[in-house]
Amino acid sequence: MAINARSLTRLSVTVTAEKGDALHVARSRIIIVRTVFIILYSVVALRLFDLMILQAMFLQDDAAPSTIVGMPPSDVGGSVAQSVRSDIIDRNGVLLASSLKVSSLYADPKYIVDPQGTAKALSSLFGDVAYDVLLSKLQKSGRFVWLKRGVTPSDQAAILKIGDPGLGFQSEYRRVYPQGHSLAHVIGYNGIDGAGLMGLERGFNSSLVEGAGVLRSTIDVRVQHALLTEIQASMSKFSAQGGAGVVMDVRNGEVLGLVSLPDFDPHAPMSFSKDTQFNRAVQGVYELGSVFKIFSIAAFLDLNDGGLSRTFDAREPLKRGRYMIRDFHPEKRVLTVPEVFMVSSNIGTALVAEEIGTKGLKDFYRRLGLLSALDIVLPAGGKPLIPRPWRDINTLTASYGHGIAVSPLHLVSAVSSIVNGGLKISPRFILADEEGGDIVSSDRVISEKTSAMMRSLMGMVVSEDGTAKKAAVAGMDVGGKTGTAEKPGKNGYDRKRLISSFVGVFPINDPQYAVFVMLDEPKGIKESYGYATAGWTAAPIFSKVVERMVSILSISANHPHDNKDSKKRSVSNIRYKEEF
Amino acid sequence: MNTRVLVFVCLSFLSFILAFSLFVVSQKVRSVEYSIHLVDKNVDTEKETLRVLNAEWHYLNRPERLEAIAKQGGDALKMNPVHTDNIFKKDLGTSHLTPVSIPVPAPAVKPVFKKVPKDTSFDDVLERVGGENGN
Repeated sequence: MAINARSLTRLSVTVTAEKGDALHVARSRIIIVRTVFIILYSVVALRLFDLMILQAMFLQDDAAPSTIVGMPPSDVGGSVAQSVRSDIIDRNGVLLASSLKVSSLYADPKYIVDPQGTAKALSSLFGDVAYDVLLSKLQKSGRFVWLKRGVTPSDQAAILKIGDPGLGFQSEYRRVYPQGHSLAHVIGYNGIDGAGLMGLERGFNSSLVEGAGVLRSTIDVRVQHALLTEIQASMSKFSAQGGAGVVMDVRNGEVLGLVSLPDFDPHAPMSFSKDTQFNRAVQGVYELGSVFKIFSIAAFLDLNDGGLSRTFDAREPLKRGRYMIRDFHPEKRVLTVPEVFMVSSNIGTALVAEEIGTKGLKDFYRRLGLLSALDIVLPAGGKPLIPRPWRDINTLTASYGHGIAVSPLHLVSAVSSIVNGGLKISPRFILADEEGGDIVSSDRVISEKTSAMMRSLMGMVVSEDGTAKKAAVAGMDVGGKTGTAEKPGKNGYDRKRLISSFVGVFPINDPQYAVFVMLDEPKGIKESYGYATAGWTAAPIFSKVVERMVSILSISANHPHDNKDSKKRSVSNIRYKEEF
Repeated sequence: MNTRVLVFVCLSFLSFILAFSLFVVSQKVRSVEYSIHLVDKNVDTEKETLRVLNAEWHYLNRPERLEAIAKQGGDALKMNPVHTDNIFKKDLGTSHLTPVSIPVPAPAVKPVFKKVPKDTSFDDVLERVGGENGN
């Protein structure tokens, strides 16, 4: 086939056009690919800028060591191990327990470079951790081992200087108790892992862990301190083995102070003997002796109108079966009921109890809560020891506080119920949310009239002729009752081992507070003419505590001249049988 | 073809602009989040500091320590324990309650008013004492 010039030219044009289109397409594709690559590289570049510059800057700022006072300098791989446990405060907002951030030292034995050198450096830093113990921990096969919990900031700085890469810190919260040993038995303490093991810490463990808010207790640290120091001073003066005390608001059962001695440091409870952790005021149950006469006389007066005018023959010791009941200070005469109470006659009280009867006295004690464990937030409250079986002779001895053992908290709650107008009181350790409303109970145990009579009788005990004149407070009308009981031993009661106690109330005309103090095995001294009875040992403590409380709490004296009924309530004479 | 390329380039550019804007916004969000984190961290730090200072304050103000300090410098500062004697009067019987007649001296000048005025508004007072509005 012959190809002419025209057709060749057309073919050339066609080829040229196709060639131009292909180049154009290729060029366009190159532009597209280039654009895509530019975008992709831009994204990568921006991301690299973000990661390397921006985020690094943020992270650097984030890792900057804190310069805030009280904070650990830095946490090496640390994180907060626990949530913050709620604080506990007293009724005035004073801090009783709080959780503070501390650093704890751990080791990853795999990365410990020089176990011997590190153990040596650490043991010289911590005086209480032995070199061998540290070395064995550092040479363990695991990847995590605690070396010391709660390291101080200065120790932490020293450890960082050791520079071993296998050492690390973890931040955690530790409980601190600014009031120290003073409230150890009320607040209790926490274990190393943060669980409450005693006192309010244990009783309210779940709500404190949940962070349900600050726990406001009824305690007043000033009152607590006054009670503690006075009991401590008397313990030392009379060489007593132990002591206990409770201050309670008689109107609502709020406990302002609770002391049990000897006590311990809640920051290091294990370094004290186990005996120190025994709460004598709550867990301990004791035969408290004559303070129980408050209850037997109150029961008698409540059951018998005109009971005050009754007389009882205390000329001879009372013989019932094979038992003989004697008086400590025999009056050897016929006594009126106020005299029975004032001179603390066992014979008179036993005769009073005979009139009440076993059922009557038991029912009365039960109504006062003296026969069962207290319903309180403090764990391990003592359960009273009562005679089983309860025979008639037990009624006689229980009327003056023998053969029945209760805790000091039982006793002060029951006394509060007697003097506050007769309404049942239960001890409270947590402040109620609502203000006002003094009396929280409507459960009546005795009549108002009986309550007024008992207040007057308790006032007489503190008068010049009573057994507790050393409990008197200048300028304040007070009332109370002594109790001296022999401790049971292997061969019956031991006359030389006494529990001396005093429970008092003030101001006696309009009671606000009940104070109980007790000394365990006080010894007689020259000043007390060798006596270790409550009138010499416990009554003066009450007087001193009240004197301090009056100024702390600004308590009105409620002086008789301020009260129209003062003559009726006067405690300067014993003409009660005519008055009531 | 040119138009298609142009459209593609424009769309690419637009998407790039959008992506960049998104990136800027995300960075701003991150920056704000970081600021919040820093503020939260500072708040936590301050709270922790407050907890420490509060604990220290109550530790230093515990009654045991204050009593020791008061005893140490009590004489110099004339700080003595308050006794109930210092607060309450002792029983004085009823003699102190007997009313005592105190002689009242005769006035040196004649009283302005013969009787107590019922109205005590300022104008009336001025009028009665012979002030500006009075005679």
